[in-house]
Amino acid sequence: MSTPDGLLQRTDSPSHGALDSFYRASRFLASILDLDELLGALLHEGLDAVGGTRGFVALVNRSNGDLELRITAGRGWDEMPTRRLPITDEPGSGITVRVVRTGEPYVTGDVRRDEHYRMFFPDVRSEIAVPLLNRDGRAMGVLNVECETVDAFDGRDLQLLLALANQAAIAISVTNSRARETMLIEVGNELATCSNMDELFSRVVHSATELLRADDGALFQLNSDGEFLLLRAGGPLLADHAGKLTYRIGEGLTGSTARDGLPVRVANVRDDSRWRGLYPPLPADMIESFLAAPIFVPDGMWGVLRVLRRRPASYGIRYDFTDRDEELLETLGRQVGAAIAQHSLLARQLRLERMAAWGEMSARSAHMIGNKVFALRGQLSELEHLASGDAFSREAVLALSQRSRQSLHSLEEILADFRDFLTATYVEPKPCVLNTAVESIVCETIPEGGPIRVELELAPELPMVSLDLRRFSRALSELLENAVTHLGKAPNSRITVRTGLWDEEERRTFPQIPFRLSLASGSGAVRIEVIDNGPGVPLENKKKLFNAFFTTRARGMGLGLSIVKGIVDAHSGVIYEVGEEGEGARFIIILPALGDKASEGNLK
Amino acid sequence: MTRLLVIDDEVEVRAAVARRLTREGFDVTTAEGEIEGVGLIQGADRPFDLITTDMVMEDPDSGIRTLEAALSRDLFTEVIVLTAYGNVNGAVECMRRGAFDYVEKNIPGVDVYELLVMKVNLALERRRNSQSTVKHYAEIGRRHGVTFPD
Repeated sequence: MSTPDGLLQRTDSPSHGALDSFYRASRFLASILDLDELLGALLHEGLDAVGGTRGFVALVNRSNGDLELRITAGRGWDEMPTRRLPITDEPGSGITVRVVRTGEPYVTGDVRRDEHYRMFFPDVRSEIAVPLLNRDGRAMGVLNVECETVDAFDGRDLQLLLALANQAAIAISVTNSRARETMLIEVGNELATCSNMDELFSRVVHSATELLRADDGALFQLNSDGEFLLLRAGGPLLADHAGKLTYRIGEGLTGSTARDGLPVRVANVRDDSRWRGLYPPLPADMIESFLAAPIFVPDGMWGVLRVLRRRPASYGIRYDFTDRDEELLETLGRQVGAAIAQHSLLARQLRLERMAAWGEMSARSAHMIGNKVFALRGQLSELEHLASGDAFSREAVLALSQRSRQSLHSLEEILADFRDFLTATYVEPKPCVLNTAVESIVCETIPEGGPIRVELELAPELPMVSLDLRRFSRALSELLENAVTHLGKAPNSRITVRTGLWDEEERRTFPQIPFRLSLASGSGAVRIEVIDNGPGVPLENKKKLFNAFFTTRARGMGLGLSIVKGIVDAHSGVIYEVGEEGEGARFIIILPALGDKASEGNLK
Repeated sequence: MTRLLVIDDEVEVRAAVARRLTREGFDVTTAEGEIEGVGLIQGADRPFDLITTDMVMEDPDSGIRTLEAALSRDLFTEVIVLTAYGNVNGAVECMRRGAFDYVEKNIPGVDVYELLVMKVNLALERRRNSQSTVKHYAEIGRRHGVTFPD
């Protein structure tokens, strides 16, 4: 508790000083966001203001209907056998219970002569209890202040406490609605990004139940014929009925919500003729308040979101849903509708993309495999011809078998492309010295003495990286082969392979690369660049470059760079093409460095 | 000797088709795509008698452009389009534009090379018919003082 001592003090000029203190106290109360802290401050200021020696703040617990002592002050509370007071109208249930029931304050100058008093402590003589009233004028709690002297409190003390309690009640409402607002925004964000629909539905029901302080919530979906509602997700009591419980349209309050497409709010379900009592977890007479809102998607009605409150356990306490509750449930319903619409849109898009990809894949692979098989068949029939005729020559047979082997090899390459495309993201990285790996991959991929000059610019003392060497080698050699292909037979063709750190300076040079290290590692990053002086990549192709089946050549599957990207992704890295069209292509791979600060320099 | 041009961007396909047609006694030239093929068509002293071309090479319309180049060089050059799986529509379009026929490269259980040789022979027969018809008309024309274009 962080209430400043003496914030509200009795002063020598009571009227002025008390008023001044009251203003300060009420401003202080309004600034507290945490409920318990707020109640603590209320009690502290209340005791101070009227000179009480002991006191408490009790709140009504909505789920069991009892009054619960939330905050206490003064001696002896630790020995109290219970902190819960059942709210009843029986005599002797206590002043506090009476205040909650009636919503009226109560002052007594001598508890020993008071019929309503219920004794907690033998030394108490005077007591004031004021209600904390919500916006609807119902008591949500009580501020209770006591003193060991007779007639300790006067009318002015009562006025002061009532004013403080009102301030606190307003602050509590504000705190509550702020919490609701925050939750609503959070739920909205979660719904917008949630990809699993069942999870989304459970989350919505949970949020609705919590936000509306209901005992149970449920989300129903209209079936495709629009004949009945099916429970998709249930709150604490209905969870097990998901996928089983159904209501016909127009049946009961929930069915009516779907039939009319309007929210339904009922304070006491037993007073409503539409109520059928079709709620499996509890007997019909245990339900009190009902609130349901329809969910719409662009195509029309999607389903119903609903919350329930039990019949209160206590006499005289009511938990009707308010206008604000109804508004809130409708808002939630709209959020769900938007999330469902977005999700189905995404799913449709994804399906279309996949279908397009598969169509593209089968067309291309059929074409390529078809050609190879056709060639193989030609070689085979040529072999047969040779074998059957007189012109049998050993050399001719060997040459043909060599060509057949080449065709088979091409077919295997196509299969390998498929396999690599599908498995690019499965990596088993191990710590590696980057420069050594790069050097050997370049040497293996591009034989020395060829028409294309390869320059290695390897920065010394680079940190170690975690690589699946086999996969990474596939990625880098694919980039090199890609460069070789696009350089063609142009004179002065050159490929530069460069390694270095990915530091602040580099980041400023390439603002289009959004690579930021994850907070977990924080140990820097390295870059590997493959630069050629070929035609470069036109701006309009830069984005599609890494898509599967994107190719500027009629030959090939167009899987190469998508495989590279898959492999880089799997190493938690990024790959970008940053070259200028006409000046050559420049691919940059950025990989996170290992955190142990082991550098190549230390290793050597 | 009958002169044939085989155009295909797959080196193995090109070699296999050329070998088979050579075996049939034709004088076969090869080209690795539309650009080289069209260059040979336009540059040849005497037009090719028959051209086989792949449908999809540099791009999906390579076959059609090769066909057009061949027919604009010599209206009576016969063109047979070879298609791998999935390009029958393009091949039919080629026939609409004057190709002799198309051959699908992959027909299970069929020796497509035999089929190709058969179609090549049929196409060459049509070419000979066409040419002799033209000669016939030219002869009539000469007799009556009318000239036909070559």
